[in-house]
Amino acid sequence: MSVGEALLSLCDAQGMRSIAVVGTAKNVGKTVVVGTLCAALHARGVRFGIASVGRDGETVDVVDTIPKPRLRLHPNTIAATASGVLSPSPACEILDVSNLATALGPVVFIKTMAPAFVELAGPPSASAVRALKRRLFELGAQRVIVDGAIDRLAALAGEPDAVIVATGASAAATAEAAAEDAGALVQRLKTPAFDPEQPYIRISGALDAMAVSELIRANEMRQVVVTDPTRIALRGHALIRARERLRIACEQPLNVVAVTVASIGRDRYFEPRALARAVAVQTNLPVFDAYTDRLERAA
Amino acid sequence: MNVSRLCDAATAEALALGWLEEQLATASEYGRERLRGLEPFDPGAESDAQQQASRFVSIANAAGPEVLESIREALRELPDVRGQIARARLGEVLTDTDFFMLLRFCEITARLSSLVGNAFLDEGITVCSEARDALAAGKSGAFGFYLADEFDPTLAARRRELQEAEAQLERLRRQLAERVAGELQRAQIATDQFIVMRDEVHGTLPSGVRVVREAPTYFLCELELDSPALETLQQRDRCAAAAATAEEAVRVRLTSAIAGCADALELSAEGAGRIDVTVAAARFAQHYRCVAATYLREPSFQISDGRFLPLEHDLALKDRSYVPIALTLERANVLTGPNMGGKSAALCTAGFIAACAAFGLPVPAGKASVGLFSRICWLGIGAEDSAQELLSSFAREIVRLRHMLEEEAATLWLIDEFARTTAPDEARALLLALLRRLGEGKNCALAATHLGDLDGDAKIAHFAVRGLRGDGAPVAAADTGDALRALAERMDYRIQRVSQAQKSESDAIELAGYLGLDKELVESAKEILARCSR
Repeated sequence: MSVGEALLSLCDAQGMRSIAVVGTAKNVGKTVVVGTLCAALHARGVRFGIASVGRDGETVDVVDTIPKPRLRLHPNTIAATASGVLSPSPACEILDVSNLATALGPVVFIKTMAPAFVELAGPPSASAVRALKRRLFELGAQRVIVDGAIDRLAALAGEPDAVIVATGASAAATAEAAAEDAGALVQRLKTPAFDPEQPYIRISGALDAMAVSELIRANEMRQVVVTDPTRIALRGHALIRARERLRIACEQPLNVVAVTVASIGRDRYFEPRALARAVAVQTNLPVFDAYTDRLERAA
Repeated sequence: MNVSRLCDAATAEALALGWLEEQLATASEYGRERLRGLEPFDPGAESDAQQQASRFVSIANAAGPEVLESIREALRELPDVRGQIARARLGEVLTDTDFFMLLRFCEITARLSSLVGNAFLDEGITVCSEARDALAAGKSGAFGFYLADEFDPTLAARRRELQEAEAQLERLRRQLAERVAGELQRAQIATDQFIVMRDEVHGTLPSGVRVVREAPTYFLCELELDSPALETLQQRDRCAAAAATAEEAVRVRLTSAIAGCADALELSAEGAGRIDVTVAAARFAQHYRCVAATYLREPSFQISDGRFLPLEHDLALKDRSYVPIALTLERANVLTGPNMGGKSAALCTAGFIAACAAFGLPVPAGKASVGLFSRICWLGIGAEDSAQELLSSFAREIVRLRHMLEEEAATLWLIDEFARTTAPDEARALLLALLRRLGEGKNCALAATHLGDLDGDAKIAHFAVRGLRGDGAPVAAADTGDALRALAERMDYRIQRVSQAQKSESDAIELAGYLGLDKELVESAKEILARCSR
């Protein structure tokens, strides 16, 4: 079974029609993972839609202009992207023009008529991403993939997506550090749903270090409830300490199903199996490496 | 709406003309632009204003709300293609997204055309059939657009060649990937670059694999195309370039067709804007039960069952009702009556209805006969000019009045408690002098005031709010909302013309009791008033 098919099976098991792939940093193989998912859906004969939170699938990195893996879509794929990045050839069918604006023009819905490399650019807001997904389903998509950067994670909040976290050698200086970061992120995203039967205190806005310090000082024993995991503005040790002392929960949990690793980075390479193993231990989730075509699970 | 041609910002705010504009919100960008440019009718254009207002009302009466809503629905879907038309005129090759929008524009204008006919609108909309026909071959699905093969036989041929080359390349790549995957004993090679662990390689790497990087435990590899595959790749690239050229040629041709009918498309867009504003005005008339005013050639103002809609709307939200008023004004008029009796609301009602009439809109009244005013001026409470904040309230009022008097246009003056911050005798003298002056020109003035003895001048008509009914005891006013509701039930807001002998009371002390002011204080005030009267 290919990595793409294995990831799809995990999402199927959760009953999720849409899948969000989020990277812990740039150049951690997110586009490659999205590509494997697209290939698996195509192989299954499933008509699917794809959208991006922000910009993805470009041929060169817009920050450092180094070539990036490209997203190649099979015919009959529906995509939402900004009109300004739509390649004129091969021509796609224009299905609709939305009133969602991006810096690169309004978001248009297209259907590929021939194999095509497509650059995706979408709006950054949660409500706009929700609208895009809704429209993709209306236009006939049976499944939807959302390609989202970590800094725009909030746009996925409250959505019934299966979330796949992508990490890799570009995310940290060492494999251990990359694994720890991925573990902290997964732990944050997997914040449990709160129990309304138990006492709780609701935090409006972000739960940051100052708010956590106050709550710990006040010996808060109730559940500390945020709207969704993206409202927890804590990382690494601060998050671990907060979890030890407080019962942090959320109203709209996210469904993180797997992690992917890319041991090839822009500036460094990690030993593939060691990275996958470390990430599996830190996240306690199935870890896939699309480059080695392997699955790693924590013992 | 060009409200600034009719009144200044302070007057517009006092009359809530922003609210009026919100109620007239159009559905399309064309309508929004047309509404923004809507000008008030000048005195002398009474028959044009009459014709427009009557037309809005007759459409409101003839077409049901659901018919107007279906037109608005179509207008909401109408894409704004003015940018595309302009770019085509300038020779810029349009994109497929542009063609999608233009085709959609043509289809929706066609739908609008039939909807408008059903709604008894006398103004039609030109459908640009040339543009529609030019783009028709690209229509796909419900309203999609694709640069279809039907546009050009060359395009179809180039795409077929590309498809064949693409399939051939794909076949060769798949064969290579499957062979390599088999030799490496893995399910597939799914990525452009892939990692092979050294301990999984028995002997050498399969042929067709290029090592990009070697590490102690693995190889980072890519598939290496052989000569036939490379030749096919070159052929695919040539075919892709040819197909792209053919596609662009079709776009150039379509753009030229669009440029050729740009005038007709712009005419369609203008028509859409016109219809949008008409439908918005008719909806306004339907929703607020408005009528077409009868336009008179002199500066006069006569209404029955007139309503100040923004206030009526706010009261309805609080489950309270608005009492419509009747008003027949002469050139100079004063309005007296109790506090909270609706004097300011009466001024607003007059101003709001005059403004609607000036723009040729239906007016919220049972019946209305009005003249066209070039200006509407609000003076007094609610018209403080922040730019003059170093001046006292009185000085600000006087400076504002001076500026307003400099204009010689036919003006509706709405004066609310003028000179209220100075000594009553001098305030009375100033107000009387002002009303006499305003009564001489092409004006109509209505001044609400608590000042007495203003009706000594035969040229000034005196109106009064009827005021509190009966001698009901003040209710307990623990809750201000309840007190206001009880007060509204006792207050007769109707306005009547009064003679000199009928003195108007302000009922201020009694109202203060209604509003929960300390009983002892109220009684004390009553005693003082009684002593003064003696």
